[in-house]
Amino acid sequence: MSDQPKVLIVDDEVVIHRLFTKLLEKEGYQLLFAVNGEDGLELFEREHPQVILLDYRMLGMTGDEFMTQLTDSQIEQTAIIMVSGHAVPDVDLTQRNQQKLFAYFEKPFFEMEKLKQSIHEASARST
Amino acid sequence: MTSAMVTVTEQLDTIERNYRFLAIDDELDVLQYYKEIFRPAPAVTDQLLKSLADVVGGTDVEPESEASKYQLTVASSGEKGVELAQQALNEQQPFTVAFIDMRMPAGMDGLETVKHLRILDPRIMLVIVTAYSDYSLEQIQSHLLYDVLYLNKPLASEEVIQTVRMLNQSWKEREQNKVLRMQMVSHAKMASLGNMAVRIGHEINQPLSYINGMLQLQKMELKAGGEIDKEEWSEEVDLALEQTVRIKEIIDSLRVFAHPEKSKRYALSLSEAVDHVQRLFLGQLEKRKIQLEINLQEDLPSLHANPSQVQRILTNLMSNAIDALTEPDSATVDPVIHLAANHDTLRNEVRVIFEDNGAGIPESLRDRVFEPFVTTKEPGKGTGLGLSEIHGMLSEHGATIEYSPRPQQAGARFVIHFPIDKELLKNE
Repeated sequence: MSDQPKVLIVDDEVVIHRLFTKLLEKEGYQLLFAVNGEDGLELFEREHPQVILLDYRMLGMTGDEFMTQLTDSQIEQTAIIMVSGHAVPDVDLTQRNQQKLFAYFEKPFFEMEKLKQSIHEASARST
Repeated sequence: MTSAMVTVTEQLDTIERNYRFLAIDDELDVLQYYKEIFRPAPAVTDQLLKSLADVVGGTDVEPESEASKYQLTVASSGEKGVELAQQALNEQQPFTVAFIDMRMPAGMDGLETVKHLRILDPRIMLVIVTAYSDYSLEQIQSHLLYDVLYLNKPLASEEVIQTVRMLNQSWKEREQNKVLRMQMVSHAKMASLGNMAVRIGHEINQPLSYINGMLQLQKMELKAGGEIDKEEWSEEVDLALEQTVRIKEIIDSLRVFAHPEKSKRYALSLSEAVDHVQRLFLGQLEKRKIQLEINLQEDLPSLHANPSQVQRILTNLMSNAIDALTEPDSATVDPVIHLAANHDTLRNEVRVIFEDNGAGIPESLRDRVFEPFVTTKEPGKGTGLGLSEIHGMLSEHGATIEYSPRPQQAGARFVIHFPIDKELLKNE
């Protein structure tokens, strides 16, 4: 199990966890879930995921604040894909975080196929 | 629509420029006297004053005499005065001050005229002028619900000018404050509307993302032409349907804010409403071993309220408290919900206190607890609309609610202030 690339999903919505599970369950990833930024950071430290699917607006920390907590070298080793209905990267993210973002998908209508593609690319890049 | 187009600055200016003053007296001599006091200054005097100001080097000297800037209108009877005041309102150039003679035997007397004027224009500053003691000061005051000044005849011109000046000034201040306050309120409303729009977007986006994403996955699978696992997908379809219901619920709850429907109100006994809600929750309370203490003052006056809204308010508070007391991670030992109500005769309101000994609301959320979509519950559990809905329903009733943490103890505590309107209750 442990040689599977890890994808950390940080989103305060359990149905979104379920949706991403459905998308990725047959793709050979190990999935990790957090319902807020704080839990997400803890899982990140422990599990060192290759990819993070990050929501922007959550109770507590925002997706931008989550990224700010990561050091440059941590962020280099992880591909962060933001999936959010709220943040516009050029407005809501600091310049540093904008540059570090691997991809951005806008809720509620994003192409699942493209997201899956993006996750594949991201995990290939960081392994 | 046009009044909304007028800027705040323009409104303030219009108020600032209003020097209208109405004098009502049935004696023509007296009216003549007013006219002399407030006679517009002849142009010559203006010129003289100006050159005088130049000579002495003063900069603040007004070019016209003070009294002449007041625009006097006179009326020879109470009826005529009320008519003129009505006309002034229609033209949106209301009088700021009115002097009314008390004794006018031919028609309405001063007291009656004052009452009519007050009903017509609650903002006008009123002064009763009298030479005779037809009424005592106490009688005048007891007849008038509003603030009215009282001057004795014969009037000294300086006394008249000073009184008009002071009252005109307070009229302006009050009216300008009102404009500014309204501007503040509408700014605050817009801000919270903006906040709300963002939150609604978020709340609806989430279930919509799921529905849309799941349908895409199903379509992909259909296209691939593989075997479809009926059981697996029917579970997802059920969940997708649940999500559509969730979206509908969000939209429904928002109606309370968007369209405060004029719900029907009746004289309502709070203790009956509490009884009803208590019965509703009995099973849940027993199962979770929560004690419910109820302390209602015996002779509580009836509320003029919509019964189903009051029940919804109590139900919302109850389920919040029960949830808080049975949080899986931090369940309370000896959980208690306490509901008390008493009649504050001084403020003429019924005060309802609703508290529990759970974890309370974290300090960071306290200021926003009545905003929609703010929730302390686990993600996916509460919509975060309960308290804001309560807030909305109570404001519709002219009532307020505040969160005040229990002094020295853990737990949440809400205080509702419900005004008692005797007039309305009489008509029930």
